[in-house]
Amino acid sequence: MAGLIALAVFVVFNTAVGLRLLHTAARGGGAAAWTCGFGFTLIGLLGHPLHMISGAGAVPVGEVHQALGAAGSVFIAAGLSAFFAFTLIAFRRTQTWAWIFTGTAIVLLFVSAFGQIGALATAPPEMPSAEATRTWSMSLGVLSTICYAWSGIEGVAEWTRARKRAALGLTDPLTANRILLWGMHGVCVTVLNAMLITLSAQGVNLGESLLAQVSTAFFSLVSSTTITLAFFPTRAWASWVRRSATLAEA
Amino acid sequence: MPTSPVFEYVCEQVERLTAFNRLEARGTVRIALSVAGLDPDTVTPAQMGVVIARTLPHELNMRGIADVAALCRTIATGLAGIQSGPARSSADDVFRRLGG
Repeated sequence: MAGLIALAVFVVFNTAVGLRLLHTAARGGGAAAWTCGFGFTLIGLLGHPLHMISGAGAVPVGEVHQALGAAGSVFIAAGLSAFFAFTLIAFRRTQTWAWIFTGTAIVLLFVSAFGQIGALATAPPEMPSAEATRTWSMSLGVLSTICYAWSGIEGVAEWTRARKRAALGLTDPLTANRILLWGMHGVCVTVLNAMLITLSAQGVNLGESLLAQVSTAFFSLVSSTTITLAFFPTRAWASWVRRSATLAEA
Repeated sequence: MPTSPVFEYVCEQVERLTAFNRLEARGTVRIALSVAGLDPDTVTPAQMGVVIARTLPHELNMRGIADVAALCRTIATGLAGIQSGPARSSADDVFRRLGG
């Protein structure tokens, strides 16, 4: 139950942040705002809810709503693709390896999503849907982990440089803090994904595992808090960040 | 990716005004930039001005260069005439815009 509530919180916060970023993008926020906004919105508002409503992964294949499950898989793949593109644009725009890496990841994401759809469509109706799609779900999970890990590593690494710039007055401390929060979000989701993949690979039923529920609750709440503070910083948070930076300089 | 014209200018000046060879001059400027959290590929004249004032003097002092203050003043004077390279969006620009 705790896991379900945390997932609901994750979905609500992802959607709110995603819509806010799309609004920023429409007002000239650039490609980064579009990709990040689509990433949160496609995954939070569409992908995960549709996938859950379809019953995929929870009920036998015959009881899964195939169209909703398929839409959920495609939206999740599209959302993760958008996050790969965001990391590329924000941190590695000029590097050829990053373009190749992102392109390859996007192709693999859609191959996995359509693999999942195909597996559900061709499996016997009485087969548990989680078993029917195990390989493709695992593939999507691994790609998702890579996506968030890349974003987390780049975010934290860039923050170590941004705080030096902030100390010299070359950047706003709030911008440096936003980069840190973004990196922390990536790290949180990576740890959660890795934990759930490991438990799933060991044959643990995630819906019944206390460890899975508590981990989902904890990491979902932390990651929701980080993205909210990053993109909806309250006045109190912004002034605390700037005050801390001033004190650190002194 | 080519390094910024500002970086090239400062390296040339450090090499010309000290006993450093090309490699030593570039290495020292790279370290001064790194201490400031900046990248030789994207550094702008304004950012380099701060580096020359705040982090480069310390790096030059550490390497036994005499009259660092005058040297940095000379380099900073010529900085005004250096064109910034093609505009590149940095992570700072991206995350500042995401704040709305």
